[in-house]
Amino acid sequence: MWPFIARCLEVATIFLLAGIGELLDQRSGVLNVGIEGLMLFGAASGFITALRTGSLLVGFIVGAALGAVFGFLHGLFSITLKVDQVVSAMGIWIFAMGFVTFWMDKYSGPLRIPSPRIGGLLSPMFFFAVVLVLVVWFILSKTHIGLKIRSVGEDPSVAEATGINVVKIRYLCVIIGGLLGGLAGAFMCITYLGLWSHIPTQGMGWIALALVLFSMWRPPILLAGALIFGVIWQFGIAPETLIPGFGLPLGVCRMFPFIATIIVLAVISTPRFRRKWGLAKPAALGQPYIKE
Amino acid sequence: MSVLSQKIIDLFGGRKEERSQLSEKFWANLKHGEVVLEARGITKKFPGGVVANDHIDLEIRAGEIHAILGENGAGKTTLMNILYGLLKPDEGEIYIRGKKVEFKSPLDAINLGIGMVHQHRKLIPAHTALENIILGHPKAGKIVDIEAAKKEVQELCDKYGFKIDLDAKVWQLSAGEQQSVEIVKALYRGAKLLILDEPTSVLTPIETERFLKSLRSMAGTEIAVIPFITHKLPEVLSVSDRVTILRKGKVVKRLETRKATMEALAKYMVGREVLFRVKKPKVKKGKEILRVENLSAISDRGFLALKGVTFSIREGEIFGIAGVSGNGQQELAEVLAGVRKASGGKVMFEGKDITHASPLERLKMGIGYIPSERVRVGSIPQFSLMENIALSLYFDREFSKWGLLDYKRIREHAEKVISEFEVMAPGIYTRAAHLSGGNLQRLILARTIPRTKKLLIANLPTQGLDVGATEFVRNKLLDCKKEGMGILLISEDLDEVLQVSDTIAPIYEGKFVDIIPAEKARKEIVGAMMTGARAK
Repeated sequence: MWPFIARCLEVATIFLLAGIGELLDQRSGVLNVGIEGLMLFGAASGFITALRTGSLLVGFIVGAALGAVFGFLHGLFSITLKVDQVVSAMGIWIFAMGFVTFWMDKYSGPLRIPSPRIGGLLSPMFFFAVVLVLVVWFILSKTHIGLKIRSVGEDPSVAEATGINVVKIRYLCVIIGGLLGGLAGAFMCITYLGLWSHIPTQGMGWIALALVLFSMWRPPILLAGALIFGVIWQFGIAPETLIPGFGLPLGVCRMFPFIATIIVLAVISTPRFRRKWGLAKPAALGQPYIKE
Repeated sequence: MSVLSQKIIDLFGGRKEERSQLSEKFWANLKHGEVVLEARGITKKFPGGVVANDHIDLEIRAGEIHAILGENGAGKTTLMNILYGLLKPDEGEIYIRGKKVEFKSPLDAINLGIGMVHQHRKLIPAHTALENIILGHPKAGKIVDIEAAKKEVQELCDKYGFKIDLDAKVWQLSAGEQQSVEIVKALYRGAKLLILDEPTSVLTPIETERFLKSLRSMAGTEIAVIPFITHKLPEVLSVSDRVTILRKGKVVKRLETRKATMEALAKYMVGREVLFRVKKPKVKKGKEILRVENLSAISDRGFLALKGVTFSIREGEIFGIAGVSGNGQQELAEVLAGVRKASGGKVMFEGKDITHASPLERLKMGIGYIPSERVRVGSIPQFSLMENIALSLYFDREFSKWGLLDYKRIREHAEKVISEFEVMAPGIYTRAAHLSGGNLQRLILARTIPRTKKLLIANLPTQGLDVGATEFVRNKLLDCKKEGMGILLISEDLDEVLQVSDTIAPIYEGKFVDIIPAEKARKEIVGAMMTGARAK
């Protein structure tokens, strides 16, 4: 039972790290649908670094850094060059799928460096992620920089007229978002899986994206969502640890998180929820800021 | 690539603005009547050879209200944007308190004490009034101390007589309150020069009065107020000290307000005589054409916006609904045009129930709709003028056969109506996006009116138009009336409703306060009704 819960929390950690970065990103009006790609790069670079240097910490740092680089790249395309945000992020994701496969699949196999775990069960990264959620919540709702970020996401031309540097704020958010996406990937590969196999993210980035949309851009709801999906994901992977002798084939179980995602997305598109959602949505989300 | 890398360097290695104390020091010992802003020879050309500002000189003194008049396209907006740092002039200099300045961005202008209140509100609807006011202010610090900021802002409001609920979300505020929020925001940032773009255009009479009082009290404290105006001359002129009039990018006249008359000012603006009072033609009212019974509708935000209105319109009658926006008139117009579902009640057109008829069915019956949002709903900017006009023809047998459009016929029709409605454009293949507000509205009228046989629904038809275009639209409405159409006119401009309509219904919170024949309508009373006060 306890190992199962610990594993759930670790999955939640992955969703939280990726999700909170994406949330920050979207609050500033930049949609990055390519977190899956950022996670892949973070996972690949983190894994190979840890493998070569033997240091998990360096692995995390490199993974996060590469995530930040690709976050910056997304910013370069969508903020400076004003490419459609979805096109830019999809491009990064597709590139990641191909490149990471080509680069990493020859290293497939276990890492053989055990991650530190509290009580031998749970990685301290979980607590880091939870604290991070609280920090982002505090920054967004209580600080001036948070107000600026929210304003840029609501209406960049208004923000500009009050003397806020829209481009700078958006870059800041998109880079931090990328950094956390990369860290999420590195954590997943190094600690949660402890091995490399073909495309190890398996759609976790997309679930994190759905969670952000579902959270109505509020960090506490994201936290709750990540925990719930952590349980669903882990149950889908290893149902027998919770219910011994669980009958359904593994392939079916693996579908659980995605079925749950579809249900969530269906629920949030009902009229009642949509109205609430429409009010909460950063009004400028997805639109490149083009000065007239 | 080098441009790109420079951009990246600017982004991250860019200079840090020192700003907090700058403005206060700069504005110490300000005396009443001192020249605070001087612009010399401001010239701005746009690509395509349009000279928006042609050597404009301007002088603003502390504590004065200096109105700048001009039609749309006279170069007001350009001048305003130059003074606020949004645009750079090609030639000319700006001096503030005798010191030459150059604005790289609005931030430079803000730091030097220039504040601007835009006509299209530059506020974030989802945030509270207070959040909007402190946004971007250096004093707000790193962690916002909401209580302290609130106290300070409240003091400012009290000083100049602004009434704002600081904790309310901006979308919940009325147009007048939103404007107050913008002004307080500028003042909170230490503005000594306040540029106001079309300040009274969306205010009710009572709000206007309160607003003018606040303007006076600001001018009393050495703040220079510069309203830019295209229409609604009377109110602001009544409080201004001096006027500068622009036409086609040039200053055509400077004078002291007390020496001016409305007619003279309008003549300078337009370059010809303008009739402020359109003549209401006498038309015999015919039979009842539209009957609305207890109609209600739900707004986009999900609450009951229209709460049961009952009225009827007869042939040759203009039924004017006067109200501040957000009181259900938008929903009413949409329900009548068929683009919004009624949540209750009935719409009868010539005795037939059309409550559930589609917009197309209504068009075919001879009901025309002029929506309030010209760009978003009224036209497709990427389409040419002809294609925009074709949008109301395609279903007609005369213009299409077997699903194929008869472009020859459409072209002929488009050319005819475009000249008839005086749409100023290079040709029918020009994209609608290139038209100015007034011309776009002419295009929409040109599309709608010739196809309308019986009932015209005009929602805010003159909003944001200059004096000339406004006159044109009103005359067209009266022409329709002469032809025996019934017209529903929805307007925020009380003067317009009083001038044009035969029957007047002030609307407040989704209900008609009263329905009054025009002969009996008094401006003060209707104005009070627009804010919900009942007639005694």
